[in-house]
Amino acid sequence: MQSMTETAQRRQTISKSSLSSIRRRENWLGWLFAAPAILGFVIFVFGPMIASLWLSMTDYKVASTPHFIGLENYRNLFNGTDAFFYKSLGVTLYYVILSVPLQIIVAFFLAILLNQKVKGLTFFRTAFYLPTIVPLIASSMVWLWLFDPDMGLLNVIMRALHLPESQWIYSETTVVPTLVLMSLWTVGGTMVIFLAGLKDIPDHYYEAIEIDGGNALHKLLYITIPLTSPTIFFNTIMGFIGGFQVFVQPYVMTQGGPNNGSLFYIFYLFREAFTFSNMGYACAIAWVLFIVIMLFTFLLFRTSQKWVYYEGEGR
Amino acid sequence: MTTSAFRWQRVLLYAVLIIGSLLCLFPFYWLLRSSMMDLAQIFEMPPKWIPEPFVWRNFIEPFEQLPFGRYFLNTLIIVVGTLIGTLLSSTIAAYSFSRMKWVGRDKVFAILLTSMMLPFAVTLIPTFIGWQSLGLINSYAPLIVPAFFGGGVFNIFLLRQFYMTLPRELDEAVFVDGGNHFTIFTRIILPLSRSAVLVIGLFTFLNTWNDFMGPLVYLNDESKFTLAIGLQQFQGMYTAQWGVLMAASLIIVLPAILLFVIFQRYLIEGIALTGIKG
Amino acid sequence: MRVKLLLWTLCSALLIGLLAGCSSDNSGSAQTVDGKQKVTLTYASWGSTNEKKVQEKIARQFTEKYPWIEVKYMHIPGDYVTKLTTMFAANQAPDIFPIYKAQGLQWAEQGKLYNLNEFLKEDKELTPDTLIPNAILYWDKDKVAGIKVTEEAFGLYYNADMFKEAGLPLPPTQAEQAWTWDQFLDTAKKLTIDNNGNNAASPAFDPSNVKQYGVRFDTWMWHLMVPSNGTSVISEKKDKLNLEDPQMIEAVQKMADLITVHHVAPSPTQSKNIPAPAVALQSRKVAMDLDGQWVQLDLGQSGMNYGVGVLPKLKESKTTLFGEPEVISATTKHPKEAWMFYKFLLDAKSGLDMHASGLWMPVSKEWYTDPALIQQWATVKPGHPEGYTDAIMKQTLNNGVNSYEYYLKNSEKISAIINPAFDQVWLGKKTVQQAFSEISAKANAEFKGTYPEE
Repeated sequence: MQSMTETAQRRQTISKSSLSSIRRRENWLGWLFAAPAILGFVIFVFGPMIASLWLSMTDYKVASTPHFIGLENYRNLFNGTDAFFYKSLGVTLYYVILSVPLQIIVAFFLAILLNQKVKGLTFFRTAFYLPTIVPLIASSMVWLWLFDPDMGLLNVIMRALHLPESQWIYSETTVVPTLVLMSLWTVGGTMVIFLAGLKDIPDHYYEAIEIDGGNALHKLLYITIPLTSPTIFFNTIMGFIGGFQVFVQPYVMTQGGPNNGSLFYIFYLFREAFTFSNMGYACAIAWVLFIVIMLFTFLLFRTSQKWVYYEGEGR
Repeated sequence: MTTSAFRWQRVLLYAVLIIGSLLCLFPFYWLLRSSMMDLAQIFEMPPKWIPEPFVWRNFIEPFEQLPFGRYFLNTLIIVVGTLIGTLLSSTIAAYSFSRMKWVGRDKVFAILLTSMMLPFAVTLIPTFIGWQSLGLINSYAPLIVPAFFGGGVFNIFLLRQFYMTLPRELDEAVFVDGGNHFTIFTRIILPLSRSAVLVIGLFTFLNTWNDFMGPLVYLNDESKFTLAIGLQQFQGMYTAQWGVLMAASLIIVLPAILLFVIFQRYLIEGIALTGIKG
Repeated sequence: MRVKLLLWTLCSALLIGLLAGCSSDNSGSAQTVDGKQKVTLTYASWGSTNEKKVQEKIARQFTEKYPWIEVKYMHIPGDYVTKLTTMFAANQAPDIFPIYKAQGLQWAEQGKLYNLNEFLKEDKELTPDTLIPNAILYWDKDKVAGIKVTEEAFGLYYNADMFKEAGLPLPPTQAEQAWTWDQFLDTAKKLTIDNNGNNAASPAFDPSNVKQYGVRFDTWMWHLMVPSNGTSVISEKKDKLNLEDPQMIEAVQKMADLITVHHVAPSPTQSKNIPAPAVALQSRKVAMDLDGQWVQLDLGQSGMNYGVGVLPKLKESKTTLFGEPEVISATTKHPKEAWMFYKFLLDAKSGLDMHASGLWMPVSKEWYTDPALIQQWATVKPGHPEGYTDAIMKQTLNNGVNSYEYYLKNSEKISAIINPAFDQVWLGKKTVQQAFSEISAKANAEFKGTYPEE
């Protein structure tokens, strides 16, 4: 910000008349450069958003013309007429609450380990990051197979280690935890971002703790975590938003079962829209999700004041 | 801390890392070995770790049953189109939001950021209807054109973070020499942001290469399908024929892995540079 | 710098232009062939790659016969219903296509499909009398959503060699001699063998260690035996679902017991490892298969010694009919030509290969009664084993009962409620009665009536 003021001052000395024209020109140019993105927002985000809000208040079923029905779709969602709404919300929340903290902790933990001047850093980093490259449809297939209760490798290993076998995705109670486990396979993406954040912490902070007689735990609690809290915050928000939108796994692996145990919200929405042709209704379902996400994000931002620490600001 | 305690710590550290990476890499190995095996061998207990004999038939089958070659080409077309669009529009947008002064700049950016929170499901149906009214369903337009309009707020966000770390003095030098924003952008900023641009490019490549929903919804003609759809079709046709399914998956995953391995270093450095962590 | 911006704008414009070029095909310009206006129809369907080839052939043959009508075939593997829904939403629905009965009837109600009665009541060649019974699907009085393009019936398929080696009598092919359920269960037990060589009838049988199952069936056919028990999934008064009817519950429980009580059939999770039915029979993972007659295509091609019998009976010998309708979209621009192609499809002669292979069954009565026609498909090997004409062909004509799905309104929603409840039944966690009573209220809340039978 300081150099901007300097530039402005220098410009003032150049010429007063050309100053406003330069400013105007920059104004116009700025809008021009940003125009595609702004247009994109209006055309592909804002416009459809409003359209879907309107559609959510109709009974649009694809073939016929839509009729305005006010808030009836929303009423049907919330008053229990829809047999699946609350179930899918519950399933998705369950998944999000399990997976996001777990992913953050595991990714953070791995990043700390990798930050310890290990040999073969490149290898480990690649190994952890590689799963994020695989398209979900392909990895869903591999995992579908690994999870097979009889012949799948996971249960074979459990058997060999004399541990109890699990029904993995084939039992109503274990399907969501199993999918959470599967999501940990791609924790490398988050880990890499944490790594970058960790590298930024200067060594002399840690040395200061050592001099004061502190140990690894002190380093973690008083240096590492506070200084990476912006990254933790960012990853948590992204994790929540992503977790709410899980679709491919139920679509490819479980079809929402067993007994609706994996009826994730977007899968439920997709089914309403494309299998039952209830497009107006599906738009309402989408808007409810939007509001839920906004609520969560707002809550997270609120609590962030308490624990996110930005360097350069006072606590 | 005694040396032996220190050594134990190191051993534990490496142990955890090695086990972790093996766990992460194992599904790949499983994918690889099963793709080269006969169906009967895949289920053998105790598991066969090396195919015996190597069955290459599994790799030929996808190309025979479905026009996988065509799908490959189609996916490439869409990816290249999206790459060009994204790199073009996100770089100039990020530049505008970070290094140009204009009325309402930061407010507009904040509004754009909210779109990251928007579940794609909200806009899916109206966007679809929109394209339909333009008569562009069953074409590549819905998949490529949005890239030219900002290419995703996430990319703009990343690039903006990066541009903000570049010193202003560079801009001022150009102004003093009588240059303008175009000059700054093309002569200074772009060359300096190679690694950040590479990161965006790689992410865009991966997302488009693996995109499944878009082609599923917008493409009708088999001649236009992409690899991701091809794989799904294949799943429907070859249920429980794991060998062929794994081979088909491998065909799709391989280019992405190759690209990653080649550009790995730039990617990791790039992420750090973009200051995404902050 | 100006130049660079100009260059970039040009590049972008060029690309967008290119993209516009990739846009969807425009309809061909009007032409005339033989003095008639050229017409293009889109015909879509599901199916394996084999079926795809036959459908393409049918399309070609039609155009050879009627050169001014071009039929473009579109193969849709994968999620058929989603794909068609998006096509309807995009106003690009194909002119003619098959569709699952549940969707077909609902879409007809929603106005997506053409009322075929317009043609049916005028047509001299294709009338309700020339068709086998139960072939026409009505969504309302005098409103025809579609006609079955192929009939589908269920039977008891088996690996004959396994029976011979076990010294067991082969399943009967005639309805009068159909096995009782107990006879069937008894045979299944004798043919279910664990890894120690004990069969399911012996006290030493270990159900967690089964090498070979007596029978398999698809769990979505949970209602297979309901007609045989003299009842239906829909109540007699047609005012609700029959989820509390003891006969209905019994019929379904008997199927579930095969898995959970007697362990002669694999559960859904165990089935995931057993390959497709034909391969399962061939590799001796199962001895019998309660399945639709379409499985004969694969069975025939496998080269094994297989046979078919009538389903076991509870009260009466019946088979459940399942054929999916062919429909014409309401938005078709050429209804008359679409109807011409429609009739062509329904004529068994057009796709004779598929009928001879065992995959399809004709829908015209004459193909079931005229010996000369019967010879062209029902006795052709290897797609049709000995006894087929009795066990499947005659059974379809005389004892066939349409699946309840032809008559239940809102069946997609109701199925979405009922099917998950079954997940617990197959695992043995709940009895059918418990599962049904839990969801009965929810399912009946979605009950919106029935479609007429004629």
